Amino acid sequence: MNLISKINIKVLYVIFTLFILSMLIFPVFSLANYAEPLIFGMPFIMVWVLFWIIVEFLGLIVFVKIDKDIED
Amino acid sequence: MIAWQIALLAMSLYLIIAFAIGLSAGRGRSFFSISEYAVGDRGFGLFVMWFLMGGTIFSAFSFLGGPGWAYSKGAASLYILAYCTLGLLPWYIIGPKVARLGKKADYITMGDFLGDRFKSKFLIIIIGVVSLLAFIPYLTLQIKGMGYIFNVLTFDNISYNFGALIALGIVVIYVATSGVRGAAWSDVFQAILMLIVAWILGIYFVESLHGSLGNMFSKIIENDPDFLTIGNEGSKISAARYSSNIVVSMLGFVMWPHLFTKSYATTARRIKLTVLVYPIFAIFLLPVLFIGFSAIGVVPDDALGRPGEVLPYLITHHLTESGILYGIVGAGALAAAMSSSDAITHGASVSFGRDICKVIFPSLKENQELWIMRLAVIGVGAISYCIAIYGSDGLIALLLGAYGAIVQLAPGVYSGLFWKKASTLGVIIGLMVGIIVTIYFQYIAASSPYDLHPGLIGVIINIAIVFFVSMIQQQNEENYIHASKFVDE
Repeated sequence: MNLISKINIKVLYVIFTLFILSMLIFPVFSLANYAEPLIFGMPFIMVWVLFWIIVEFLGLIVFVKIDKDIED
Repeated sequence: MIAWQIALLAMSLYLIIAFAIGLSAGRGRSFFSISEYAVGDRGFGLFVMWFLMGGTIFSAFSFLGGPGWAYSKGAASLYILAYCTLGLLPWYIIGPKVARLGKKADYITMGDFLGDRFKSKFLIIIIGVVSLLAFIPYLTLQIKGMGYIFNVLTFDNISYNFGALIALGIVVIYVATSGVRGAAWSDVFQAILMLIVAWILGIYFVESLHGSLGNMFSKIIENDPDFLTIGNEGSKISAARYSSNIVVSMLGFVMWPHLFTKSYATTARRIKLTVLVYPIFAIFLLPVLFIGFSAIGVVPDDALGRPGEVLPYLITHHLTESGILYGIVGAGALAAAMSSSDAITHGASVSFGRDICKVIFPSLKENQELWIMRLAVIGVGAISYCIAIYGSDGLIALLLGAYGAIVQLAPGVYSGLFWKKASTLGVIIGLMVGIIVTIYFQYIAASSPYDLHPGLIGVIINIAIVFFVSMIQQQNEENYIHASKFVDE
């Protein structure tokens, strides 16, 4: 049981990593490939990158919380 | 006092503090232990890990090259944010595993781990040589950065050669004496200084030159609508190159030996918590790009020899009235170059001692091996310095071919950790062919297929070789059990 949940977290993590990567490269990135509108004064393409960095950070918080394999 | 004197004073003060921190970091620790010199006795705390890993990305490249990219290549510079945020993600999976294996078998380098997993001394030496060949040009660039900053900010009152020598000399001394702990604690100070300077400069230049972010970007868009997009008519980079750059960086980032070996310097838990804060470091890089964008329309195109000179140009032309701020900026820029230099010289010295000398002369005692490492710090520093001063640009460009070779270590590391069937022969051939293919598309061929990053083409062929050779070659029972120890850890 313990082993299964350990593997599942790793699989989920890999999927999460590939998901964030796919948001930041083409072809998905073409959705964001526009300079305008400016949001908070920054180009749309830049805000898109920042948005996914924040999502990644929040996602990592969740992983660290649910990861049982984190005690030393 | 005039500007250059303030800058000199601030930079000197910074150098003294960094020197003192670096030297004192090693005090009270064993001077005669390799484990202490190479991996800090595997006991680094969370705080120092954050800044150690964070400080390393703030190299001369991000401080000088980052604004240069934004200024000359527009949206292509977003690549820097993307790779910083993605680069460390694979470490969450492989770092803890490598840390546990390393503790059990007393590894201190990547060669230790791969050599043991694939039972090949030849492989260790290849890794050692590739690491050294990649480290030296990387260090050369940092040295050029340090010399340039000194020279420009003091308005030529300190020569390029002398400035580089002083900054490098300090790094060499504290790394040779305090080992990884010297590099780590000075990185804490350097990273904090750089962050502060980057934000002050980013905000200052945007406000003073353009009034606001929105104004600045509106002007850029009005002037050249495609500059802030990728893969369009007027864009500076193709979609394929942008994407493959990110993929290569993500695969290759943790393969840099000086970062990979930090897996040995701490515990599994702290590795995961270090990955967690890395996206924050990526956001901290944002103002570095703002600095470059703010120069558009302000710095005339023909004023710069290279785009990397844009930040020093802005500082010397638009900041000299600010007195103390001008000095702090000089110190911050110097800190960026130094915080990478110490990690690189340290990594190179450990690779040289363990992956090359120890393999060729297995009878070396711990004490002798350690002295080789300490002396190698000086040796690597001296070679890189000579290349920085006397080397032609062509020579440096050639050496940078080794830079693309680093990502070729990834198939070996991943298959070693996750695939019991992976064969030694496959990994060695894959690594060598991958490197040759990368260098071919980087220097010899006129262009690469679909404009992909040469390293990506190398790594795809590399993976294919590892896969097919391993499938054809049967592993015997003994090898299989040996591999299980690594894969099942």
